[in-house]
Amino acid sequence: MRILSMFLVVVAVAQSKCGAGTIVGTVIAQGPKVPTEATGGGAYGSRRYKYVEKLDYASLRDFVVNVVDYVVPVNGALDTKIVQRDATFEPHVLPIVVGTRVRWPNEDDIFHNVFSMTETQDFNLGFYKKEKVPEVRFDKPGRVDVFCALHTNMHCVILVLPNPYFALTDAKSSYVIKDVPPGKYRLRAWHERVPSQTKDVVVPANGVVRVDFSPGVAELQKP
Amino acid sequence: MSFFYRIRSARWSVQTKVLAVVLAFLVALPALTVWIVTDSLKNDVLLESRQSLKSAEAVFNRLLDARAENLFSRYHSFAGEARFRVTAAIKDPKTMQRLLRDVLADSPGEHEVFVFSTRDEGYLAGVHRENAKEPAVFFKATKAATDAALNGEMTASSVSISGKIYTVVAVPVTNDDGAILGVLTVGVRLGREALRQLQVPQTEVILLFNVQVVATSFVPEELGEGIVGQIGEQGILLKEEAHDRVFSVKGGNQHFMGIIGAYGGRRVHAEFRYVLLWSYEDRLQSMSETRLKLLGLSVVGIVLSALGVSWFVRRVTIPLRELRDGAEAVGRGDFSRRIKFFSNDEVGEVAREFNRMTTNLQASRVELERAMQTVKTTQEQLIQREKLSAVGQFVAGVAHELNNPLTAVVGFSELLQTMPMEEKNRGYLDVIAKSALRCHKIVESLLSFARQQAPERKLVQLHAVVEDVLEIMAYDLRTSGIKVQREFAATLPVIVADAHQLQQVFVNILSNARQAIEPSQREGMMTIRTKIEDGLVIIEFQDNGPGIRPENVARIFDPFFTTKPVGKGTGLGLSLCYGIIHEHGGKISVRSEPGQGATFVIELPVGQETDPRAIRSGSTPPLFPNHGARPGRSILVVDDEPWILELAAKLLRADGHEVATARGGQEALELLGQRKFDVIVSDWKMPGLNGVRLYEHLVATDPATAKRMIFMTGDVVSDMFQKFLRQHSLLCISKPFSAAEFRAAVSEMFNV
Repeated sequence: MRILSMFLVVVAVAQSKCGAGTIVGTVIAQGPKVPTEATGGGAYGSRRYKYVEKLDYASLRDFVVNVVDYVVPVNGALDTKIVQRDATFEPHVLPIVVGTRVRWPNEDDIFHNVFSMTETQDFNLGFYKKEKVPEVRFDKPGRVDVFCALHTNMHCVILVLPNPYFALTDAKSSYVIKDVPPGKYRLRAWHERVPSQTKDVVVPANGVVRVDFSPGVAELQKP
Repeated sequence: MSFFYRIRSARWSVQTKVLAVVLAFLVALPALTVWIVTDSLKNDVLLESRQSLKSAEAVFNRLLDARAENLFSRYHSFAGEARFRVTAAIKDPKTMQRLLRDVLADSPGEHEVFVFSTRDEGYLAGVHRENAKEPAVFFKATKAATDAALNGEMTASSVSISGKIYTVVAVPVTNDDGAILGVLTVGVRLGREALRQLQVPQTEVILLFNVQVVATSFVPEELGEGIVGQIGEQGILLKEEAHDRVFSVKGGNQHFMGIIGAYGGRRVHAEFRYVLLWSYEDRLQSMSETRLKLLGLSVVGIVLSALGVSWFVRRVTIPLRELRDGAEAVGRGDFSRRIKFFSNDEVGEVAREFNRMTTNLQASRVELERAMQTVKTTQEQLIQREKLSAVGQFVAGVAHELNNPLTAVVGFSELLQTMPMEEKNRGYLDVIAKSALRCHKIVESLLSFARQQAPERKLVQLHAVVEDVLEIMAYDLRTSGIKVQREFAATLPVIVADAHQLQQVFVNILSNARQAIEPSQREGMMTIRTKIEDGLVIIEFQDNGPGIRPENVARIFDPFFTTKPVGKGTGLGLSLCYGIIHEHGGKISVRSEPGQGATFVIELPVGQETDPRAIRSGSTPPLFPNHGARPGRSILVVDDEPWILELAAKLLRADGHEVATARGGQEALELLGQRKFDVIVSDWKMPGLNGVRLYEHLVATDPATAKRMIFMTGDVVSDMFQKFLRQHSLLCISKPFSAAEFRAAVSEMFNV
């Protein structure tokens, strides 16, 4: 609901401008060309991929696609939440625009201790169950990794972005970024475990532009 | 019994015996060796298994300890983690539960139970991999360890809960000040995986809870169950004293030595045992390999040794076998067999002695055979002589009967010849006289054949005798166209013989030869050879007549055997020769082949000057009468034949003697009693008083007259009579006698 309302706000802001385009596409991670299975037995496809994490690239979700190098300040407080349930954070990846407040409700009946020690923003919410719902406002763009002091498996990533033109891929790995002012942008597909892929996109004044990403090891910086 | 008897009585060669003994040793020795080696190997294996098991047990215990220590340090460090300290400090059971569950999820599967407890609350939270109720039980079971940890002691122990064995690690959780907040008690199941890690190489482990198998390191776990079942059957499972004993057990297709122990050091939980099993299958295998090698070597050794020994024994027994064969040959009568193989030992000595024995036996046998031959020859000669003597006696009898009438015929015909008569009658008388003379000759030869007295022996030159005979025979031989070739030895020793008899023999042989050659119409050749050989004088008469048929050679010396037509031969000639030569101590033999002539060989012993047979009897009467020296003597003639008396009377009266006759000894004695006689002529054999008795009477009554007694005999002169004659120096005239002989004998007496 809040996200929807946030989107409505964004749309409203965008629509206040003259004309806006929509970017759609899919993000499907691409593994090495050589099948990973074939790397067994010492016959590596390439030394380049020697230390690459063996993943089922196709099933990776939680990609974030956003327009980079384009700052659009958002006025007014936006807020959202990350719930602790069954000793996990939900959602796992949360893109927000700078200035958004995030609430941390604990829906388990055990203690959690949410904290972050990232440079972008560090905080420690202490032990609590349901007696309180702490809030954290993120004012600096960047990546914030949040953990639970008690449960090492509890981890979530908050991407604090400088503009509101971003989207999280859905279950079908597709995304939609609406109300993007026409112009030429650099569009990035991000994933916490895969090198990001950046593509240029020209957003028309009206209509939809399609940009499909296939981030993967190919994006790795050449040594 | 009978079996042993059979074995004992069976014939075993030396080779078999030696081989049997050696083989027995050869088999017994490796068998013993194999047994000893196997036994010692077994002992070694037992010892080794004991040591291995002991060390394995020690290692196992050490590993268990180490494992506990590892676990301890793992969870000690875990308990030191901030989140754990924080959670412990909160003392919220659910949060703790959740944390423990996370830990459980991060831990290896065997880390089954996690319990957190505090001093005040006791059991706070606990998780179990499978059973949620288990942690509380576990907490109770590990109360001791927990309490120890609360007191700051760090312990590691074992606990068994519902058929499972856990290594219990209890670590205290402290806050930053070091105060003990609570205890984390972890139960790590001592299961299969753990056993795999704890397993000492070459050993298998079975963990027991009571008699229940909790875990085994065997790959099919049932194997462990089976083994425990076996151990249970041995009844040593629950005995404390069995815990140091090594036992043997079989699992699957492997053999194990095992040892039972209990783990836990001071906190021994009597129900928690382990069985360590050490497979000595490879030992068994190597043992059986060793045994096989040994056996193989032994078999090879036995075979080689048997071959060697059999070769050696065969070699050693060669002389024995040769001895046996030799003995067999000797047993068969083959004395020529000698043993050739001499070994340089006792057997060799036996062989040498055997050879010597055989040589002696052979010599003895040859001697025996020679003796046998001699006996046979002698026997044959004896038979021949017996034949001759039988014939001789017969002939002597016949001759005696013939001599008396012949004496009459000869005497009276001679008497008649002195009387005047017609020419025609004189011719007849001559025929009668000649016939009588011929009869006389025949009878004489018969008598001389039959004569048993020793012939008169003188030293005689054989060549001279032969020459005499040839001279006599010269006419006959010449007319028959037979040439005589002499192959005389240059010198020939004298022999002791009766020359007349030898002449008779030679004449006989030459006559036979002549008769044999004559009808063959070829140029006759007579070769006479003399030589001396081996102390014998040998004379051979070889003719080139038709020879003698083989079937006749053997019979040629038999009396009355003749091949001549009837009337031409008496069959006595060669018998006579045989008798004569044998009396001379010689031999006569003939060799002949039909068509090749015949050769008579006579062997005579060489005479010595001192030969006793050469002693001449000094009583040989001179054959020539001394006519008319002193006529007119008185003479008594005694004979049982009246015509002899008449003839004697006529002859002596014609000479002018006074003659009285007596028909027997008795009558003679009567006459002698009446008057004396100058000479007495008496027959030897007479019915009633015979000549000898008459002589003895005379010697007694009138010895002078007795000296002038003459005996007459128509018989063969026996040895006894001959001796008698010689002893008393008496004369004897043989009937039939010619008038001249009779006169001569009588007139000789007058000279005495």
